[in-house]
Amino acid sequence: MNAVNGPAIEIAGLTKSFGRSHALDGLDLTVGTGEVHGFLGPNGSGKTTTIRILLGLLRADAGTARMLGLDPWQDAVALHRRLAYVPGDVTLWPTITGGEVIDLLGRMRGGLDRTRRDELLERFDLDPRKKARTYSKGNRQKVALVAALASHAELLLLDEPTSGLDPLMEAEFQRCVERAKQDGRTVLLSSHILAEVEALCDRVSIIRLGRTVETGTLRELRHLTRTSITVETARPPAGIDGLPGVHDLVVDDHHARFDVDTAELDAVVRLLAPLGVRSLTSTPPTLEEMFLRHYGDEETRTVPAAIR
Amino acid sequence: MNGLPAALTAEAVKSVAARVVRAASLFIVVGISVLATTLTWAANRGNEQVLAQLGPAADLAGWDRLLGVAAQVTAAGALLGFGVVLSWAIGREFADGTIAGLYGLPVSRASIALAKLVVHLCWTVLVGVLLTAALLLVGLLLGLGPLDSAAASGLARQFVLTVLSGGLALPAAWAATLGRGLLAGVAATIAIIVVAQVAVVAGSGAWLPLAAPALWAIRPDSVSGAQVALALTVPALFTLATVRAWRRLELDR
Ligand SMILES: Nc1ncnc2c1ncn2[C@@H]1O[C@H](COP(=O)(O)OP(=O)(O)O)[C@@H](O)[C@H]1O
Ligand SMILES: [Mg+2]
Repeated sequence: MNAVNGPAIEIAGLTKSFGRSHALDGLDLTVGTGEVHGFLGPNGSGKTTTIRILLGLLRADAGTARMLGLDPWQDAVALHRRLAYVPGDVTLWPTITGGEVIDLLGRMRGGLDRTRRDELLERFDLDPRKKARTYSKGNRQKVALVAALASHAELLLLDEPTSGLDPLMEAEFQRCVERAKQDGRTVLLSSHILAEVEALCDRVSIIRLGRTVETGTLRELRHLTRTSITVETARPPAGIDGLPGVHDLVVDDHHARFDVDTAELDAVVRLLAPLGVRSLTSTPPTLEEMFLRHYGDEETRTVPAAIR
Repeated sequence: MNGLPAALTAEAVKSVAARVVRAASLFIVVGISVLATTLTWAANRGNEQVLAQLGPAADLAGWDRLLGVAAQVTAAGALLGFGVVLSWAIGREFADGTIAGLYGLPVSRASIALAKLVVHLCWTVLVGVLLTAALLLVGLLLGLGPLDSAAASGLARQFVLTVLSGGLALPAAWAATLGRGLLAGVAATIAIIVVAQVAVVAGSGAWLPLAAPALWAIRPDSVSGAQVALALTVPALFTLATVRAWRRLELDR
């Protein structure tokens, strides 16, 4: 590993257009070695395009991209030996079995850990003897995940890898990413679901319209998110309106409903506890709400200073 | 070549498992044998209509006639089968979307393209062996006489023609790459067949690489060795063109 000194992925000012559509418009992204990095953005914001450039499937129009210190287009073969890629919509050769696909991919990537493969097949509850044609979308997804996770790749590029997986498998996936992190691998995980990224990532980059709008640790990005709270208390919930970060408060007898900046959540819980909480629902913020609140719909906003 | 052995294994596994390849093998070997047998049998019984259809092979007799007819059918039929399978082998990766996964592997694109063409070559050799063996069997069953040296060299030419037809189908690989799908490859195949057929029927075209192998298989004295060898420029050029196209391709569609 010669990349220990530098970041695993370093992208600056990346631009890519398809005809008149500007998929990437000066995107920046830095992923440290050994980090699980969330690559977050609404559909169509340019996540897949970025990953395709990193894989050497596309050439950028302008800007620079380095991965493990190498050039994604020129050094594609050397890079692909060190990374594994799982797309959001896995397509397999229909007439060969899932097990054969996993082994073929493994052979091409220079070997895979057979014990780990068998363990993963078990965990994901995947029958490798079936022809790929007969697999559901979720099962095709699992084939690619098993092949990637059982490889010796030091970098995992995962582009919305859990689309089509049921919640149980999603939990399994999260355990696997945690294990990859323990093994010292670098993971770039693209997603349009804030909660998924929150559960796994050390740092997050948020993109919109082909540009990076925020980068930082989740703690640094807390100020961007709001949690919705519905609570029923034994004594009437007074004093909530005096707390910082509380919005859209509606109090009705012993019930209260409001949003609170996730960074201020602690103070709210302290206030509520002595009131005797009978029931409490908290809804995590979604990415869409966050975008609506912070970035509105203006198409041409300037990039705010990235949080370091 | 980066990762060529791994790419060869992968392409071989995919081809062996493919129904398209099996169906095309059957179409070429059985189809051509049956057609050549029926036409020869009818011509031998003096069927005027069939004789009129046979063109250069009508003047021949015995083994020469069977193999002449077979060569004519091969020039169109085998080329069609080879072209379609080649177009499929390349076009399906684009149509099925498997190309992105393929390009994400630590195997150079040149190796993947080359592996596909090498597997194609191996398959055409296998089909050539089977088709030649089938025609030998047919000739013996039709009672065309003992297998003398002329008949043996005719069979050898049939084998060479089959494999060369596989090579002449290579523009289909290039077209399927540029067109990113089966259709462009099939269109190229049909264009090759039409050009070659017109030249063969017109009796000219010994200098046309697309037509020379068939003319040579039917009437070896009418085509020089250099003209047959010239046919090899087609697979050579289109191997280079296909590998180059794969190397430069962006998956932006
Ligand atoms: N091959 C393509 N041709 C034309 N437009 C494309 C192509 N790929 C992506 N785009 C456009 O580029 C933008 C970014 O797409 P994408 O990178 O797939 O976003 P994401 O993965 O974040 O959903 C979208 O507006 C999409 O329509
Ligand atoms: Mg995407």
